[in-house]
Amino acid sequence: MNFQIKKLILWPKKSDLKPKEIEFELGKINIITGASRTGKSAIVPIIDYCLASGSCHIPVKTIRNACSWFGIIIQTNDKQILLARREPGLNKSTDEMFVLEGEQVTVPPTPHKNTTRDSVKKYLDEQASLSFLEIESDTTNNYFGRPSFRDLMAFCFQPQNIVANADTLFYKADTTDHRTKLINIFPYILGAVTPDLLAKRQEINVLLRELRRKEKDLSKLKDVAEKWKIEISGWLSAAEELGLVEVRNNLGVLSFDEQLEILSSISEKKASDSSILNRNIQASSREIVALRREESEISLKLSSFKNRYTEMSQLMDSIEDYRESLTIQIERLNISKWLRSLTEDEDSCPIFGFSENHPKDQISKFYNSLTQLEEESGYTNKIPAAFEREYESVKTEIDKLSEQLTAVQKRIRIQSSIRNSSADEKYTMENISRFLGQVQYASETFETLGSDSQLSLAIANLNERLGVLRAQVNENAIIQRVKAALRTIEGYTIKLLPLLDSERPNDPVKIDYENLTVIVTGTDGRDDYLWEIGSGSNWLAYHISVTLAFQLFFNKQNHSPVPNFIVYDQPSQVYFPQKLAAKENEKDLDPKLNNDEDQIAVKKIFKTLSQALSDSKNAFQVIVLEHADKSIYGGIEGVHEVCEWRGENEKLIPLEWIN
Amino acid sequence: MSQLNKEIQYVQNPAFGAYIIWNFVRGYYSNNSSFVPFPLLFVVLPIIFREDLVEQINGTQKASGLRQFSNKFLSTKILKNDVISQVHVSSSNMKNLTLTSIRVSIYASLISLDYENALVFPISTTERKNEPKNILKLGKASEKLGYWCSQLTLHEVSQIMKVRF
Repeated sequence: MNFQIKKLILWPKKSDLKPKEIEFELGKINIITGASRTGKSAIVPIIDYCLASGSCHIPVKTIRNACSWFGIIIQTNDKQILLARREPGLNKSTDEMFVLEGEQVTVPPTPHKNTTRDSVKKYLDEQASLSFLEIESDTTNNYFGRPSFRDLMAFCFQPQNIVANADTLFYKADTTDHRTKLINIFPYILGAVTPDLLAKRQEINVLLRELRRKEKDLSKLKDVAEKWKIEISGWLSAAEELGLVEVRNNLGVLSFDEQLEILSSISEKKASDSSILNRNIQASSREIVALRREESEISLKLSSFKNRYTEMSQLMDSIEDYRESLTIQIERLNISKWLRSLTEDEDSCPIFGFSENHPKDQISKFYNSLTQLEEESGYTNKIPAAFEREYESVKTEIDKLSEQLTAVQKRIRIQSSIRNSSADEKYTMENISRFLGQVQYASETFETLGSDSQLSLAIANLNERLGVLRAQVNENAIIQRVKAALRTIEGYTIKLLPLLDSERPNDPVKIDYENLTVIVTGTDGRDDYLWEIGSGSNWLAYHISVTLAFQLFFNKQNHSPVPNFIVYDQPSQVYFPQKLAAKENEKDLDPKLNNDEDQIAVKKIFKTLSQALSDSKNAFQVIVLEHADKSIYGGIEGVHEVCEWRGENEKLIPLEWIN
Repeated sequence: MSQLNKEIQYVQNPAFGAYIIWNFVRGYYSNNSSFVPFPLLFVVLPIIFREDLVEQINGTQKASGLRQFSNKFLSTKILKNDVISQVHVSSSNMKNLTLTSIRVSIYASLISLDYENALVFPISTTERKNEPKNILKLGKASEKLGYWCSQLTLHEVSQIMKVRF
């Protein structure tokens, strides 16, 4: 996904001062260099905070005391998005956020709350075209929840404590929550599990549930099969009306077996046993009215679901073409063009049709402004669309409702067949005999339900569909695709690794995503985990090459939800002299690389970044926060120095903001 | 005319459309006396004529805004994200109805058009309270929608409601 940082903005607490803007270049290595304690390292938490992180990790004191809002401007393919968030004060974080989007956004003098963190999270999910389907749909376990934009941050930040860490490779992967979730969504991020597959997994689960229910129906009709229940109570009500049984108001309470018993007792009766009573007939009429009402309610609901289903199917059809990116292509409304096509000539008014009161130049002005308005609104022909969940749920709903409707209708038919069998002979002996015959037949049918019924047919159909789906959701194929993707990333890593300062530049690297680490295979054939390998410079080399390799891989995918920027905080730290040994009054001084070897090693870092960037044709953005200065990275291709924070009042927070 | 067509005519007719559009323009105007960009009127009827959308408008605080409203459809509780994606298509289908409704409301002196800038503003801003309850409810929803749209640029509305003008 094209999603790069254009600007970083800080709004001061002192309202008379202007906000501070730090501008980055797209597709370049942006470097902020500076001395210690100038606020370099705050950049990572600020960006993360603006991207709706759960808690605020921006350092307290100076920065948080001086700023009222933090913000970033993001550049995507066709627009800019400004995201700002209020300084949380004494709280852990705040929900107050401000969002603004447009082809070009201008920084407002002061932001105000116009949205919440939760909304921004959803908004970002949608911008990244992430699927709304859970990874494992039959579990309520959060670790298998749907992939969210926040999870993708793992690939975008390498703060100081991570960049040369032997134990963890990715940002925020140090807590169990994030770690487990990240591992679970890895196949999705790698493109091995597509939204389509997720939808099919979901369908399998829905079908499985239905299958289980139907199987239960079959073995224990009395509990579940509403359809038969309704039908049998239809027969019983009709029998009541004809006076073959006593009116009892508790039909619904009886179990299926009990009802069946009554039914078979009726079937043994003779027509002469009937005693038609006034109240029986009244009760049955009331029932018919209630049934009719129920029928129309269900059918109304059903038709509205059906409409929605048709609309959705059309949309889903167009999603199919853009499956991976979950988008729909749409034509613009083009009101101006359409209005023009309505009137025969340029002179007549598009709204009133005649031109006397509307002179020609006025009309043409109208058209001009209209076109201008349309242009202002911006244009993309693709819109994000993720509603597989909805599609599944509507499908299930329709099935359920149709089943209910058939049941109710059947019952109405039974009751009204007696009603309508020509009014005058309705309650004759002959008719009652006929009814008894039907009851006999029905009760026999109910009794043989188990062996051959519509139910077993439905079960067979379900099984068939499940078979088809299972073949499509081939879990083995997914594993193969994950492996193929990892091999590609490893390929990129191995190409970058020799450019860096590491002890084993040519040993193959394997990515072990289930442990979120890398394994290096030595010539002796032993697999060494990252944490088994010594030296900070080695860890750093693996971190840099792997994170870049991931970006290169995402870039090659048709559609990747992962933002294409990455921030490194002091990658060179392992080469700088330890500050602990320095004298007390020298601690604040800017450390210098005094060793030639170290200088070369740090230079290598920048050269590798530059190489990766040019391999990708500048398709992603790197931001580096560094002690090292121009003497190290000067002259390297693709490098853009954003600012240098050294000397008087050259810091993230200007002096006048504090004093 | 079949029964169903008649039913639709009872609800989705230009006179009623005019009432809805006027309420939208009123709501928009109520925020800093701002005028409505003409193309925006074409999304009003497709939204107000959908029961499930109106239900959510009524259930959303006025202060929350359009983003909050559209985000609701993403939630598992409502599960109707598709309905938002549908607005664009219905806007296109209802173009004619919208235009006739605009004409009616201009004839009825409810709204007027700033021809030069293609902007629309209300002539009368007094809320009507004597209509049947159901109609008032839809009018209110339209007014709220108008107010929300007035806080955003045309570009933003287009992004949030997924309509391309």
